Amino acid sequence: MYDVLVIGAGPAGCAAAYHASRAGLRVLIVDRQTFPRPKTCGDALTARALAAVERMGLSNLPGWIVNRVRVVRQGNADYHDELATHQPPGYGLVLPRQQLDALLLEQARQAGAEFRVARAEALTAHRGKIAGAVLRTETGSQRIRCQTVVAATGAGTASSLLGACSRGDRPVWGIAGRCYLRLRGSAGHELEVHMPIVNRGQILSGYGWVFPVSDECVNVGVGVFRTAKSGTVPLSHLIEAFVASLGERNPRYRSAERISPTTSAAISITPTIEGVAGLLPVGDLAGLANPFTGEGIATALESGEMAAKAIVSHGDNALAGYHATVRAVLPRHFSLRSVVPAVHGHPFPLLGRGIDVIASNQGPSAQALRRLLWDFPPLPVQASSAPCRPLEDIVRAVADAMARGGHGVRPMLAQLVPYLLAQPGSGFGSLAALGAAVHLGLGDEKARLGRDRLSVLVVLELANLVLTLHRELPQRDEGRGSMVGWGGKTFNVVIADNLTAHALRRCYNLDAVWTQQLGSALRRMFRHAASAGSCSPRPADLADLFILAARAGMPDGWQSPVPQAVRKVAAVLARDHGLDGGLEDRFAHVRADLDVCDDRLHRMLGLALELVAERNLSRTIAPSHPQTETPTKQAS
Amino acid sequence: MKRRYGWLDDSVVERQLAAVERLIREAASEGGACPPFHRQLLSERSKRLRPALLLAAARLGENPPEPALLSAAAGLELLHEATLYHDDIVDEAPLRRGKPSTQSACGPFVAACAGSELLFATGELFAELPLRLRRLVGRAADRLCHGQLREVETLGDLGLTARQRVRIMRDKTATLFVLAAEIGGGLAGLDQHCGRTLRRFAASFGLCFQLADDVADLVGPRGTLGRPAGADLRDGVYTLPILYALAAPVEAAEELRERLLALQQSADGGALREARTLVQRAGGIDRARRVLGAWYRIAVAQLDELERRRPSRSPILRNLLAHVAQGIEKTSGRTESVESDSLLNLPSLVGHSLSV
Repeated sequence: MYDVLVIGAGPAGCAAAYHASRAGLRVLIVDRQTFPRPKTCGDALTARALAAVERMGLSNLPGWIVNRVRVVRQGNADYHDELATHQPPGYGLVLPRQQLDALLLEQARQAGAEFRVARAEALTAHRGKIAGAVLRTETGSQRIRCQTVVAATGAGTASSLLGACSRGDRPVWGIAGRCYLRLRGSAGHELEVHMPIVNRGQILSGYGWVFPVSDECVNVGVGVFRTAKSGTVPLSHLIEAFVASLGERNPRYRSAERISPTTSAAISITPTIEGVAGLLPVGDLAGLANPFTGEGIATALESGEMAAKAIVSHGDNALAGYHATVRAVLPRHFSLRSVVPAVHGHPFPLLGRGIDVIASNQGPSAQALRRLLWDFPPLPVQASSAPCRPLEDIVRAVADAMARGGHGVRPMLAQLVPYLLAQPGSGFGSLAALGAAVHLGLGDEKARLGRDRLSVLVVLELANLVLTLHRELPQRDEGRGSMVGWGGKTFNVVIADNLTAHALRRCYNLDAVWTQQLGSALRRMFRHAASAGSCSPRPADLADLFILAARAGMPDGWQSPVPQAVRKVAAVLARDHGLDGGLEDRFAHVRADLDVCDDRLHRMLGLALELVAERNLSRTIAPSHPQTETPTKQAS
Repeated sequence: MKRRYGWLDDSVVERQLAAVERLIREAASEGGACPPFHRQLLSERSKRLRPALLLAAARLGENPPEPALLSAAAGLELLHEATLYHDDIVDEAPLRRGKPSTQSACGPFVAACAGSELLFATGELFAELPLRLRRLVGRAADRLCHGQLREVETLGDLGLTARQRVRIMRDKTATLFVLAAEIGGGLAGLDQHCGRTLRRFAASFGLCFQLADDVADLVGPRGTLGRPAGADLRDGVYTLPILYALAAPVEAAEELRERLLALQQSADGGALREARTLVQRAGGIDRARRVLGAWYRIAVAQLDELERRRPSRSPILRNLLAHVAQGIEKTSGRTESVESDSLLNLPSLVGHSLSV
């Protein structure tokens, strides 16, 4: 009798086995192969993966260090992404899976897990929950009883074993293949990614890669994403063509020696963590690989860890706890779920276009896209003070509305909005915070902000975001860029116009008076930006917007003029709009004035200033998209 | 003195268009001189087709409230012009109507802000419309956006289907003409049947307008276009004539495909000329002209229907259509062609997609 049975000893399984063992549980981990064994994979460990490996007590892994990603784009300049800017430890490692997986398994055993070579033939159930499995070894069958099963069998597994946890439809998946080459000359310390991969004139969603395994050897491969609508793809042919093209471009590859056959494997990127009571799916089986790059080691390690922790904390109710944690740590995978098939099924995949955008500018929209495509850790969330919460709720409602609005047109654009809002310098939230403060300060405590009033705040914040995006554009026409790529300008204008259409839609739906006032104030803001030819509109023009935001917060039938305190705060917010630091000091004077009076309005205005100054607004923007998520039971 | 809108042959609308022009000028200049980033707005070469259609639609009805009508017409034109500012940024276009485009003269940032200014100015101009009509403007803005996005997404896509291209044309171009008909007719209290007929007219009008433009880009002489010919080919915008050529079961189609792939890598003048010739050789132009003829006849049919229901005091709608016919004829097409293309079951495409 074991506490945990882990089926599959790849990274996900070993992580689960390790963490469960360390917590004192009795763990049996099985795999149908003896270790060490080869595994078809790019072999690259991202910084995020290395952090997870370190949590398994393994530092100083052998392997080849890489410190940047170089994206080689046909017909365009290369794009570099320094791994130092990703997350600690700030570099990556290339280590053949044969070695990595053996080390991970050994680490799990050192932590106390028992390993057996065996094939899990069937799962057994007891009282409506999975309670074990039938294992087949060379010597025969054996029934194993356990409290929880962790299924870590990978992407290509036939689901007969796991018919219990139905995988549902897989609208999109990947295939990849690789071989090892020995070069003449140094392999370097860069992860090379080549795009596009073209098959008979058609651009595929995917990329070729060259990852240095040692000073002389490289792992070369091609991975593509497929949807139900795509035809079959001659993967081995693509890999041969890719290797040949490398030779044409670079003498190092011309006489490279092939030191392994080409092998291929499946990649699963549709998250399916549902499982059933007693069974937790992790890693590639759970479809948790990065939906844009197909990279799966980091999330395999993380999900294994999360499964173990859920079992440790919640025992029989581990599944619910596991779900909650995965969604909290990897929200992007779920919110992107409905988007990804469209992205990969499209003849001109976003992956390539996205790289074009990121490569050609450093502005907020490119940075937002970069966060979305690579697998950056979720935005940090700090605890907020209780009085601030109602304010934050309103600001969050504005952010949600901004994101949802794009969903109908292009879910991918809707996904981007939270990342755009969270970029430093976006100036998001000041307008909404002021409106919220006035509403909470002057209105009936229980009354919710009316839909129309919320709409006004949404329109104002959308226009602000549009101006932020426009600022990314060059001041001068620089002449022709590449034709087929999107480049920064196209992406920028398309997103800005999309946001504008959303704002206009809301604007036209309001009372004629609001429509007129919003139109008027916003056109003035843009006109002055055009006249000044530079980035910031005059504080006077912005003050109009802040007054409108304040008016949106005023209760119906408010007859008196805008209170003096509100005007003061509006002026200060307008003056310092878009500044990114030192706001505490700049606001200090006004805050002192506000503190003199202890009524609700003054307190709320003070909190709004605090919120803006701390730039804690990013925590109001957890990317949450009700349409794309299925509701789950939350662990208490 | 040549009357700018004499060709419409409707003195009421002529007067109204002059008033609309003043509103546009006010929007551009705000009482002072016209800033460089709005010079494009006041171009003499612009025909103001959309406001003209809006006003023409109103002429079919009874006593529309004139201030709202004029403001809406101005707003519609600003909406249209704003999209041109932004399109030129994306296309990196140096010219617009023969003069430097705003983005080339003032830079992309200024052009973007100037365009956005006009977009939000429409809020002021449409504010007087009843809510129902204002909502239509919002939906139109969405469609414009969608059309722009689809066009940009499908740049260089050799697998684009004719149907997909027509949808893009509908969203990008027909939308504003249909909106003109809806607002004009709506303010003038036009009955449902006439309203629908008019919308169908506007949709087919818009599609004809765009297709004639697309054909002209391939065959037209340099001077008349205000920009170098073959721009679409070079930019990867595969219009109907090009798609038809690619789909033709002839050798020229394969060669065209190769040329287009080559153009995607580098904009070679020679390859461009060859590509244009190949589109012609593969029959793309001819087929597109036949389709143009079919759409034109649909537009005429709507006008005939309108005439039956509401004998009109004004030839303006026919004159607007004649304007497009001139454009068609300039590309040496004929407007009384023989068969229509089975793909383009226009009334259903229009009716389904543009119903409100």
